[in-house]
Amino acid sequence: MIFASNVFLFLFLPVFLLCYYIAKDHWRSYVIVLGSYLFYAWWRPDFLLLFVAISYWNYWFGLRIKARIDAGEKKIAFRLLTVGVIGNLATLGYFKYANFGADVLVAVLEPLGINTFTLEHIILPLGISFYVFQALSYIVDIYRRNAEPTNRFVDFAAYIAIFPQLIAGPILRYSLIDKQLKNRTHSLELFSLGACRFMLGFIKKVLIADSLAPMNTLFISGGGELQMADAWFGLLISALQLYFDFSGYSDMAIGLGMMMGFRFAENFNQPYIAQSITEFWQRWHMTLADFLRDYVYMPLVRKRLVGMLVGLVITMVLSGLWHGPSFAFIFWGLFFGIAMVVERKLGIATKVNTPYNFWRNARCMFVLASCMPLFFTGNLPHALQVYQALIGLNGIGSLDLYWFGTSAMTMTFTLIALLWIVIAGGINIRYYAGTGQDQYFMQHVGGFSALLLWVGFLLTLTRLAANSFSPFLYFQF
Amino acid sequence: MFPVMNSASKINGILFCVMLCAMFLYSLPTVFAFAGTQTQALSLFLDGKLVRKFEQFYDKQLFLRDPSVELWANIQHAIFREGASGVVLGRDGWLFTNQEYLQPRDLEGNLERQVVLIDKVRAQLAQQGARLIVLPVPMKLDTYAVHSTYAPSEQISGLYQHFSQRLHDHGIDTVDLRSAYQSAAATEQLFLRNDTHWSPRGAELAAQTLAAQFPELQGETPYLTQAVSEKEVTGDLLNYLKFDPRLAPSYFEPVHIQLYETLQQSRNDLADSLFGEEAVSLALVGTSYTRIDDWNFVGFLKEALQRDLVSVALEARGPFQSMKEFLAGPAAKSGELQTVIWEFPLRTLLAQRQIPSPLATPETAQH
Repeated sequence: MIFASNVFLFLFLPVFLLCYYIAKDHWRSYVIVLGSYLFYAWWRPDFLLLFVAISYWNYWFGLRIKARIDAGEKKIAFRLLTVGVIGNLATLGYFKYANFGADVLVAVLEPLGINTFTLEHIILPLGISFYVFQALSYIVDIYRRNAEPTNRFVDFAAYIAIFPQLIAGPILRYSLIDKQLKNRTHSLELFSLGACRFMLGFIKKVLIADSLAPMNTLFISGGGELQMADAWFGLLISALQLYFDFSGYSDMAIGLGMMMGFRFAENFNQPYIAQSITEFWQRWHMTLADFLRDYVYMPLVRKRLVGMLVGLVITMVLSGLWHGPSFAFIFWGLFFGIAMVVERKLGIATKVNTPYNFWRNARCMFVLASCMPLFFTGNLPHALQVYQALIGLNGIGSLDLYWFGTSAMTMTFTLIALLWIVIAGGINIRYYAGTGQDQYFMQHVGGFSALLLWVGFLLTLTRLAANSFSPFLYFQF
Repeated sequence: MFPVMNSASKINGILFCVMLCAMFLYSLPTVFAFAGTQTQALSLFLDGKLVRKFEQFYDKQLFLRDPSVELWANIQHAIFREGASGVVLGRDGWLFTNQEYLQPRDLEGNLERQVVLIDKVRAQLAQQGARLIVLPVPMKLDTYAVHSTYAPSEQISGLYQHFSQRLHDHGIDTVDLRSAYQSAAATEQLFLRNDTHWSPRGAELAAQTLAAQFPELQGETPYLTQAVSEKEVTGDLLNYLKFDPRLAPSYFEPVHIQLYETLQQSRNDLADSLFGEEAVSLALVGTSYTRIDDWNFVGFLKEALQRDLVSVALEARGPFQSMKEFLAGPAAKSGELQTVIWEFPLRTLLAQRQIPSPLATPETAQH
């Protein structure tokens, strides 16, 4: 099920909220689990078994690790942790990378004359990258004594399965949410805030991102036929669509969480005003960046397995691989890793509170655009075709492909998206500059005034009804 | 924490709940209606098909759907003078398909690939002793550029001649229909204003032009075409106009066409027709231009050539798929064929997707 559907909004959500608020505190985790399993099974019921199995695996290891640590048997606890982590990574690896690994193996062995094999296509379970990461954070946090394991399986299952973030994040950290699982406050104020946040995300996703989708499709499918203007314009569209799609989803997830009394971590902080790649990753998909920092980069560096810079590159390559099993994503991650190393060496890495400078921002966006074809196509030969077009090897080109393939209304939504980013980015910059009225502006302009929000939301409902269906881009990850 | 929305009036939450409750109550009859029609719910649910069916059912039943479609279409037309993606609004109530504007970057490569495929068809037919004549149907945009808001590019207006020349270079006979169309376009309606296809008059002119340019195809069986009735044609391009007709009435004005019927006039060989088997040596392969009876192209061609023919045509599948089916069918294998006319809409040359090979391939076992 997806949030941006009539069935979710008008059937699932009211029933779920009704059950949730009727239930007593003790039973609310059960309501969350059952609701989330129904939400998940809506896509394919068979993968629900895998989901439950992973949940139980990590719950069991969490309890055992804690027991060994309490008994002072740290080595055994570490071995348990290792087995637990391997179990999670093996599951993720099988479903996400087996096809890719088999293809690579065949490509290597065939020229050597070695008999190869074929692997039946493995279906990637929905959201597996997200819930496996959350499960990992649970057992690691327990081993590190950053969190206490729960004795009720249903509480742990609720943490893994909670439907707002089940499919596309934000990635929850057990240590940051364990107290909320046991005890949280429900209020009309928080519910109202959640409703507004949900509506804001809904507008970003359905009204903006989905309106840009036809042009993005033209760009992605344009391949070798793209010319320079098409390619650069397509890159802009893709970047806008991805941001509004994914951050819209995050807003909806955070809003739904608030409706249930949860406070999820923020996932986006105006990434397109970043002034360096380092800063970009402090603003884009922040929960993933934090996860990689705490569970990959820091262990590598603290244990002196590698130096800081090499650790950075390895972390970003793994980030690329997490986004997709292809060489394009590996190169994409490598690109980011190298860019961040270069920034550190040159001393041009900025932070979110670095005073804004347009040229630094423009330079960062150009560097970002340079690696985006790898991300948007997810395919190395296809990305190379886009690179050819970007540097004008296919000709300067007109925009026929866009003019007659889409519509002026779609182009207008591009302008609206740009304007949105400029306004929200401007407010964000003022906030970090420490000027007084920023929170007011954010509430009433960037965060939408209530009236504007409702008008936008109702208009978006009609857009959804007219389109009926709108899948999320980030499902593929 | 960076600036994000961190407070909201309670009224928003209350309104949101009221909206959810109202929509839920409204939805209940739809849920029960769907439940009442399902017989294999469990197996469909396990396949994941049930929920897809339900979502489609629910979306279609939603009271917001039709008004929303019209609302957005109205906004699009009122502000941008556009229809839905797929149609380009022209002048004087004329509509054009956007396929004729979407020029592929590698037009020359596209052309070359298709000419090579056509040449292979020619070679295959030649092996069977049959001659191929290609009848390229000009583009509506090229013929009625005067009604278009955007002028066609030089590549589009020169495409017909370019294509014909390339076919000539491969020794393939073609009909020059564009010249005839250009001469007649100002005084006669050769394409329907609200449809992608030609009009009956356009089909008749195509048949007459072909007969004039290839007199050796003339037979001796008299056929006569006569008008039998009239019909109001909604037009396939009108499917893309979802806005209120009052906003731009000229696009919605109905187009009336004359329906024709072509009958064989000879009575002398009636006995042969009834009891004998007449070998047909002429075949027509085509697309919806040939397939749709309203245009009566087959009839006009019989009348113009004064001979019977066998026709294989598919709607919405393109000329190559039609030729593929023809080559795999009994008509192509009969051994009686002498000539194959291939009605080939020129806009196929602009197709962005991969063109299927029309050559017959050996059938493989399906288990």
